[in-house]
Amino acid sequence: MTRAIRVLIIDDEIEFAGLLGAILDEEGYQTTLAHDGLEGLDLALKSHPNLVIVDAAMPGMDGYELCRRLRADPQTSELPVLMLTGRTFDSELNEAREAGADACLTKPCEPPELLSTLEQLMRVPREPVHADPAPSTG
Amino acid sequence: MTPFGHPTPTDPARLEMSPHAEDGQVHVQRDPRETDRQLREQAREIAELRRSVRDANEIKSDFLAVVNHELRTPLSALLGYLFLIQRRLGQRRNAEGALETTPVVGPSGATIDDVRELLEKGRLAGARLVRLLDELAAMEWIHRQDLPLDLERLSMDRLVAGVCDEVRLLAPDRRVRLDFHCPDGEDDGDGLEIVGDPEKLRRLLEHLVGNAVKYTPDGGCVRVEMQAAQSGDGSVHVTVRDGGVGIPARDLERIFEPFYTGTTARHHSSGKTKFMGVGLGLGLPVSRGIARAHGGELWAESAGFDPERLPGARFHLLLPPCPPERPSADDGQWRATR
Repeated sequence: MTRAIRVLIIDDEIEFAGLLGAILDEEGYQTTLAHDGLEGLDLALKSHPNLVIVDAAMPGMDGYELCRRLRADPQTSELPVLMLTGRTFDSELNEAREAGADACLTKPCEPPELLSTLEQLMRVPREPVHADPAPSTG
Repeated sequence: MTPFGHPTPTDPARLEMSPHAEDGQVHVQRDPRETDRQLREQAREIAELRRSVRDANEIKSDFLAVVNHELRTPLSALLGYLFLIQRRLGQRRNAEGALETTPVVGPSGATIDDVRELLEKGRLAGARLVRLLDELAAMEWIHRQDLPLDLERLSMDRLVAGVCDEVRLLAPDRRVRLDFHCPDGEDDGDGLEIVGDPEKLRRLLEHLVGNAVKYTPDGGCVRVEMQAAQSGDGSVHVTVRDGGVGIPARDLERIFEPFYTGTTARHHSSGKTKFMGVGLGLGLPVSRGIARAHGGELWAESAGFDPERLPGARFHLLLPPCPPERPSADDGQWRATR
């Protein structure tokens, strides 16, 4: 069954990107792969994905910068972005959020968790993007 | 006296006997310039020590972060491949729609089901590695005091009951009774609701209850109790009592120190059940860190260590109705796992 949901996977680790693609293909997603930030940005505009999965740490344009650029472009400002990170510290997770990612998973994310996050992102309408963190109510 | 409240340790050769030692006691007089010089020297040494401790701490943190990252990447790939292979095997069905059981390896006669079982074992081993890495990472968070919490209103009695059910499922071969008792439970309305991070608290409780079952010999009993705390401020008090060998008084605090696996842990409980491995020694420190990040506390009590009488141990978890506010409060819209 093809769900025809197009997912763009951007990761400089070619093997990992390919594997992720194979897992998602198996689930009926349509995947496109990019191996650096610039290529990813280009494909995000041209291939009209429904969702982007991006690795946080990449040489050149990293995942955070890519995410900020997607948010800045009206064509992609509402595009759901799932960021993957090998880092696990709060400050780095916050950076992903501030860059505009809708969700962030720490590698290794077990495939069932990744799939359920994808489904959730496709179901839930995007929250409006805040340039600044919401003021504390405390 | 030095600023530290102790007499400065001084080379006896530099001391002078007081000429006025009339009361028979030896009075010590120091050259003030010498003392001053020594103080400055000591202050410099302390500053240097402080710096090197801070450096060592930073190196340790960097090391953990790098190792964590480098291990996670290949582990991701490994788990991904296993998932994919399992998935593809799972989809292989015969004409009648039943799962295939034809031999896949000639000489050994292994079937697809055999391979599936091996893959599942591989996946479980990988998942265990992920949990170890998670614990290492959580330890770093706790050290930096920025353990991220995804807060929501949750029913503690439901959470604890769920954890007890899970632990029972995970240890079906253990003949340990696991009772959950909650007198102020759901019948009394929302008295046991708190604001907390359900995943982190589940992890804490799984560790406490799982540990209790692990340390209780077959035929023994684990009792989990929960009630509104006596303070009456909406706090919740959970106790987990095991039927194991107990904890010696000197270890009651040390078991919460990172990497301390105890001297008695290897005894397991009564020797009736074999117990392999004691883990990294991070389960309790991480659990306490989670409790404290919620503004709560986790501690242990035991009548002592006795492999014959099995006095057991009791772990107390106290959680306030709402964690204290932190500067990096989450807006709750954003999901961050682990």
